[in-house]
Order: sequence, then structure tokens, then C-alpha cells
Amino acid sequence: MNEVLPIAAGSTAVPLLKDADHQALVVEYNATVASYPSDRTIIDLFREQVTRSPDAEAIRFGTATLTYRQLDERSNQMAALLSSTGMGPGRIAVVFMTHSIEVVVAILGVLKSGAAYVPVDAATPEGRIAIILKDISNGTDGRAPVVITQTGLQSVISPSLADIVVLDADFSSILNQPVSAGPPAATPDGTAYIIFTSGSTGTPKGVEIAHRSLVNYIWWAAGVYCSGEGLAWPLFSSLAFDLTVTTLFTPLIIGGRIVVYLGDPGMQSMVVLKIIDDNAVDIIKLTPAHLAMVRDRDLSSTRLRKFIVGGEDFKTELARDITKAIPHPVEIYNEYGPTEATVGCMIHRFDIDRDLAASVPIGIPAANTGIYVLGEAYQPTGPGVIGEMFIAGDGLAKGYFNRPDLTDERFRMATDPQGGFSNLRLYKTGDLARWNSKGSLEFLGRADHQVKVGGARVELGEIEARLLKHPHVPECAVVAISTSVAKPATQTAAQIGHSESPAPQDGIARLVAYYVSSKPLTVADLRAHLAEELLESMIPTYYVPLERMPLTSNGKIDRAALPEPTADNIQPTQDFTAPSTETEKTLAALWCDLLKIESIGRHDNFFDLGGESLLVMRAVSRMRKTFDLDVQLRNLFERPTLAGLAEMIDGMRWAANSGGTSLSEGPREEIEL
Amino acid sequence: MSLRAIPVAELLATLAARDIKVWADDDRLRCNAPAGALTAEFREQLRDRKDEILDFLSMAATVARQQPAIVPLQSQGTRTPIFAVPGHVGAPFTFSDLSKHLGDDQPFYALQPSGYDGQSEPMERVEDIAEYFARQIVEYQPAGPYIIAGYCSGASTAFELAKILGQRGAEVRCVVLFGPLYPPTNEKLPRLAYFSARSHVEAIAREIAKRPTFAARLRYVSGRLGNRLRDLVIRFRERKQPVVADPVLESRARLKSTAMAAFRRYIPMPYSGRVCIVLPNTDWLRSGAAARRWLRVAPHADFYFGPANCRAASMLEDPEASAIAELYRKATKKLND
Repeated sequence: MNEVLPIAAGSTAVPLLKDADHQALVVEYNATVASYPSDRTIIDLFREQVTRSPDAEAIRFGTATLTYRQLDERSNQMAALLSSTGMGPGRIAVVFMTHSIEVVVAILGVLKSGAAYVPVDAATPEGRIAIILKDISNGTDGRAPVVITQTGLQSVISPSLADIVVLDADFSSILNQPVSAGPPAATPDGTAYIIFTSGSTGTPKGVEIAHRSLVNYIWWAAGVYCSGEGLAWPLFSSLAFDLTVTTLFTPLIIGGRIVVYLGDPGMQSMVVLKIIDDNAVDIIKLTPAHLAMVRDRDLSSTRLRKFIVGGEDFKTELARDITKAIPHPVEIYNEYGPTEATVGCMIHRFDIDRDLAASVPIGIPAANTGIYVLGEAYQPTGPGVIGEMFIAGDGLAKGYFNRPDLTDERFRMATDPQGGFSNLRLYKTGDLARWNSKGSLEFLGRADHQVKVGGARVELGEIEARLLKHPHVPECAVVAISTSVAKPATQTAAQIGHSESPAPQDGIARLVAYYVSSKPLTVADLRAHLAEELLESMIPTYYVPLERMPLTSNGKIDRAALPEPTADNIQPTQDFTAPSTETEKTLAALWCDLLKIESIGRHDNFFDLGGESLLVMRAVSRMRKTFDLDVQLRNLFERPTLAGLAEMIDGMRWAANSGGTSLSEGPREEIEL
Repeated sequence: MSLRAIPVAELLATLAARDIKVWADDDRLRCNAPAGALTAEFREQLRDRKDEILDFLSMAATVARQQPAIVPLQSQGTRTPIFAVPGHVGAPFTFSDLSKHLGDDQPFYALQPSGYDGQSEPMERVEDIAEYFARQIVEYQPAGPYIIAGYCSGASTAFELAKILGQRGAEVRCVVLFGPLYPPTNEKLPRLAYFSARSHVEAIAREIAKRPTFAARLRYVSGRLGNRLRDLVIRFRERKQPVVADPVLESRARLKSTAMAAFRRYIPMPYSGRVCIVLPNTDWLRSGAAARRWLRVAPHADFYFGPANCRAASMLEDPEASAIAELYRKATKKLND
């Protein structure tokens, strides 16, 4: 009897990780240990800067300015006022203000009092603020939080939910407070801020960041982005978006200047253009969507030298355009990081000659950060294998405020992927990634954008990444919908290798590609482009061209605001021709009913329209009944288009009826051609 | 409507309504009609559209003779065609992803068992199913060589099918069994029960191991128990409600139970041809599928193993299908060498 072959000889199994790969992708890649003042808080670092440059301009808004000393004194007064109302370590103050010098004073004041601040965007709806305030109250033994706001926003806050400090109205009481610093109250382990992000259940979740994590990030950011220079930074993006944390603190620990810009709520795109036109800043941090708006501006005389881009996939083409549009050398950084890992935990400096892929790489881990791509059971994956990205290191959040269950779920203790027997705290990002053959990390979208369509697991991020490689598609979003409800389906949370269909039981899941293009494209173009790299099951059924993608206030694509695909906005396939013969019309009606589609053209393919497994059998069963013919499953595979199958049905009908005897008597004639 | 504009099928139907008979005689078109019925316009149409009409008639004749069991997933290509038996559910789609990964030059036909279409009755013996497939294959492609494949419990049918074809002088290059279950001839029910229980326990253990804390594990176990209890309650309640029968699901269920019974009864006999056994992973050797037992009847069988995280249930689906296709290529490359 033969022996079973050993694995090595008999298998071409996809390996998990070879030793050399493990050393390169797990150990060396994460050799990021760097010293930073871990025993100090962000307030300590600010005060040290005040000592170094007390008379330098720290912040400007229009013509109003404050020096470092003045900002320090004003925030000392703020802290004293807050302390007098009982604020201190363990307490939370919500900062609900428009962009202003006062908002920076308020944030520094809260931190100096030892409390944590919760930034809430001025455009936040009343209902959402109420949810956040109740959450804070529930998490602090029912104690109402303090809300620092301005006269114009005060009415949005229900007095029953918070103690309200109206900063502009109460200014006289602040000016009465001592300008000298109170005793240090903040500690490295204490919470610096809590940022509420949208939760999958619809309830915002608060991400709690400690001073030590904040200091680790800002110290690193100051080193990478400023190199000791006191640069001018525009404060314009939403304070509730952690991308703004960089702009808020980095200049203040290195002698830079914050230039405040106030935009209309929801109109931050316009503010970006104003910043460019003002030409008063050296460095800007923004999303790719905002940067795309800058592209067409005249940048020939801009003083901007550095761009930090984060929040979404950053297209190489955009980075290239910006680099070329500015005559002097510019530094463009792609910074990746979830709120749960303190703003940014990976960095790549764009290189116009080397970065030739469609997207700018997300690069290498930041200081004191570990980045791991893990498969099931927390095993590091090998090159080419899709895994989920996990983050470790000093930047990890303390957890989710008042959500121990969610904290347990997303922040996990697991065996250190670098080896050994120690456990490591890892944040499960929900982002999919894989190592390419060159040893770079490729970002493949969200794991919760993994859906099941026609029985196949589909990564929406992978489809989007491919679509964005089309030279004329700068922006896109792919969603799964259920045709019976025709609304973007709720994306279900999924683990690697496990996913559930987003389709409700009464619907059929279909993929819809929304895209913006620089010139008109046909569906055939798009399908052909996608089919070059994607499996058939990953090719979207519908294509909806948009003038621009809807954006959230954070500048990210607002998937919830994507229009419902309808007969009016779905782009017709170029060769759409209506069914013409009676058989085609009958068959089209049958398919439409079965596939829940409004119209089907002669050249439409049953499988492309979402026909799979059970639907195929139902189609065969109904065709038999409707045409009273022995239609077989194989016929659908042989002739999957409407016209093709209709012709075959006509052929069957002909074959079934042609054998009869002659109806008429009398003489006959025969011809041969 | 002018006759010129109407499709061939309608033209022929128009002629048939006038008792004008049209048929193909090799490359000639013949027509028999009552005297005077063939008007000048009809004659002109028949002459001008002769090729179109011959194509249609040829297609109609082919369809009339079609073999319902042969489902062409990929009918083009120059390589030895694969005829593959799906598992006990009988779904030809089982092989769709694998076929795509094997490329445009690999003809791939799934075999649809009797009973799958809800019209015919499922067969009760593996030998009968294999005989039915053998007849359909030879009708479809009278001369070999063939490659016969089978998945899961369909592996037994594929094994028997290869033997039948071989006995009739057809060249079967290879039998490829994907994640095959060996017919549990001796320990029928206990072994199946053990196999099923073990896979359940392993799946639960894997899920428990993923939980970071004891509390999270406890929550998982209690949640699972709760769900199971809820399912039982729902099932109990549904028993009292009239169930609307779905003919497609009903026929599938009937086919499934008949196929499983046939599988359990089957006793494979030695086969001397080449057999390649592709297992989802090396652990599968220790599973209840008893893969090593195939060596009793195919002593020269070669084994190939998929990736460690590959599961039998999804080994032919994406993303695993790509690795399995690679194993197939490797197995058949050896064959060509």
C-alpha cells in the first residue's frame, strides 16, 4: 500500500508564513521602538514650549492673535473656572463650539483641569448630541457632563442633560480667574479626550485616548512633519474628527502657529479653498476628498510645503497632480490610522518616481506601533493572503467609553505575533490588508464591507480598488443592495473567512458601483476593466455615474447618502436592446419577475443579472411550465443571454412541432435549395 | 410585418401554419408544400435566408437530442475534458469557481443527477447513477479520453463511473476525487454521527478559542445555547403551521436523502486506473471522511492537500478554489509527464 505523501511533497498549500517572511513582515517591519516623554502629558509639553517661546504667536483667527504666554494664561483661567465647578481627573467636558481661538483655549483648559474633553462638531444634530450626553452621564454614575459652548449653539443643548458653560457669555467670569498655572492635574494614564465615532448599531461609540497615547503620537508627528520647524497649520476640519488632533496639538509643542478657519457647517470644502487662497499656512492635514478640491486651484505661488493626507484611500494620481502643480519641493504624507490607535499609526511619504500603483501606500508603522496582518487564530498571514489588520503599541485607546463589551470585542489579548509566549493587546481594525510580493502592505477596504453575493464572498474594497485603477475613475463606492428593497444593504460585520449575506431573506443581493468619471464611460468599458482582475461574482450588476460622491462632514464618502439605484439613474448597458420576439418578451417578463429587475435587454446574461443556484432551478422550472417544453439546466449555461435562450426555446418548439403529418390533402410540391 | 424582418423561428412558424414543411438535408434546405402554397415571397425568403435557416434547424435538432445530465460550465478548450459529479445535493454549480480557475482551455462539464430537475426521479444506487452518467457522456462525446471527477459523496459515483467507462473501452485518463467521503460500509451510522459531532465540536472550540476572556467565552457558549433553544421553539411552533411547499426545495430534499442512502449502500471495488485524491487539508486525513480507505480500492492513488485553513465544505468555492485548481493542475501535469 502506498504511503500518503508528506505535505511538502504532495501539496501546494498556501503557506501561513515562512521564517524569512516572518522575520521581515512581522519582526523587522515592527521594529519601531522610539523614546518619547511617556511620563508627561500633552499639557506638560505645551508648557515647556511656552517657556521656550512665550512671545511667539501661537494662534491666529483673522486679525486676532494670542502668543504662547497669552494662550497659556487664558487656558489657565479656563482651567481654574472649570476646577471651581468640580471638574478634574475622571470628569468629562464636552466642547461644542465653532472653530475659534476660544475653542483651543477651552480644550487646553479642560486638559489642564485634569478632565477629558469630548469634541462635538458644531453641526451635530440635537438628537445625536443628546445620545452622547446621556452616554457620558451613564458612564459617570449619572453625573451630568459639562458642556462648553457658545451663545449661538447653546439652544441645541438640553439643560436637563448637562451643566452648560457658555464661553462667550461667561467670559467675564473667566477673566476673573488667576492667570497662573494651577497644580498639575492631568496624568499620563488619565484620559485626554474621547472622540465619538459612528457605531455599526447606529449608536455613537466614544473612543477613550490617554495622555500617554496622545503624547506618543504628537511627539512622533512633530518629529516627522515639522523636523523642529515652527510651521503654520490651518485649523479647519471638524474637531470631532481625530484627524484634527494633529493640527490642534503638534504646532503647540514645537513653537508653530495655529491659523483658525471658520466654515459654514457642512461646507468645509469651501474652507479648504479659502485656506489655499489665503496662503497663510505651511502645512495642512486633510482628507483625499478635500485635497482633490485643491487640485484645480492655482498653486504656483502657494507657501504650502507639506500635506498630510488621511482618512481614506489616497490615489497616486492625486498626489502626482499636487506635486506637479507646486513649483517648489513638497512633502506629501499618507497617514493611516483609526481613532482607536490615536489618529495615525502608519506613514508613507509619497515619492513621485517610485509610487506607481493606483493608491499611495500606507507605508510603515509609526513610533512604538505594531502592525500585523492576521488570519484566523491570530496567525500572521503570508504574502498574497488577505487578512485583517491588527494594531498594537502605545497608541492604542483605553477602550470604548462605557462599552466594556465592545472594548472586549475589538481590543483583544493574543499571543504576540512576533513570537514568544507573552500576550499582546491588539486592536482589531476591521480593515483588510495583504502583503504584496514586494513586501508592501496593500489596504483592501473594510472587513465589514465583505458581503455575500450570489453565494460568493465578495470584498467591496477589492472591487473599489480595481475600479479606481481605471484611468478615468477618480472616485467610486461599491455597495451591495437587496433588489426587493433597492436600498444599500446594511453591511454586516464579518470575520475573515466568515460572512453573511447582506441581503434580507426576501431579496437578492446585487452589487452597485457608484462612480465619478473624468469622461463618459460605458458599462462595457467598466465591466471589461473590472473583469481583467476580478472574478465574475465581483463584477457589479448596476453602474450609477455621479457628478460627485456624497461626503460626510469628515470628508469621507457618505455611503448612507448614496442615491438609491433606480431605472432613472442606473446607467444602461451600451448595447441594450429591448426584447423583440414573443418568446424574448415572455422570457424577459419571467426573468424580471424571478430576478426582481425592472427591465432586461436581449443581450443581458442571466448569471450577470444575479441568477445563481436556486434561482437557476426556479427559472428552469418556470420556463418549462410557461413554454411547455423540456427546458434543461444546461440550456441556460449554453445560452445564458435572453436572446440566445429565447432562440433555443424557439428551436425546441420547432423540433417538437415539426414532425406532424400534413394537414392538407391534394397535390404537393417539393423544392431543394 | 414583412417576412424579411421577422426572425427565422417566426418565418418557419408562418410556413408551418400553411402546412409548408422545411427540413435540412446535409447542407441543403428542402421544402415540401401544398401546390401553390410556396409564394414567390416565401421562395425568396427561403433562398436568401438559407444559411440562417439551416443554422436554426441544426440547433433545434441538437437541442432535441440533448443529454440533460451534461451541464457545460466551460465547453471550449483543447485539454482533456473533465466530467464532474457533484456532492449529494447534486448541484452542478458546485464546480463553477473551480472551472473558472482552470481557465478557458479546460472543458469542464458538471454532471446533473436524475432527480435534480424535479421532473425525473432520483436513482437509488450509485451504480445506476454512474451508468446513467456513462451513457450520457458517451452520447455527448463518444470517444475519450475523459477525466472523471467527483466531490464529497459524489466521489463514489465518479469512482464507479470511471470503472464503467473503462470496462467499455473508453480511455479515462484520471479520476480526481475532491474531498471524497469513503462510503461508510461497516460503521454506517456511528461513524457518520461521530464525524458530524466532531466537526461541530471543532467549530465550537475554534470559536471559543478566538474569545479573549473567560467571560467572552461564556457569553459565546450561552449565546449559542440560547440560539439553539430559540430555534427549537420556532421549529416546534412551525410544526403546527401549514407549510407551503416549494417544489424546487422539495425535489432537492428528495434527491439529497436518496443520494445519501445510495452512497451508504455503495461498496467500491478495486480500480486500477489513475486516481488523484485532493483533500482540503492534511487534517482531513484524520477526519471521519476516512480518506485513507480509498487506498484499499485504489492502492496507487496520489494524495494532494490544500491550504491549512481550507475547509471541505468550501474547498471548491472562492477563495479556496484557486488553490484547489492549482492542485488539479499539478496532479494532471504528472499525468502528462
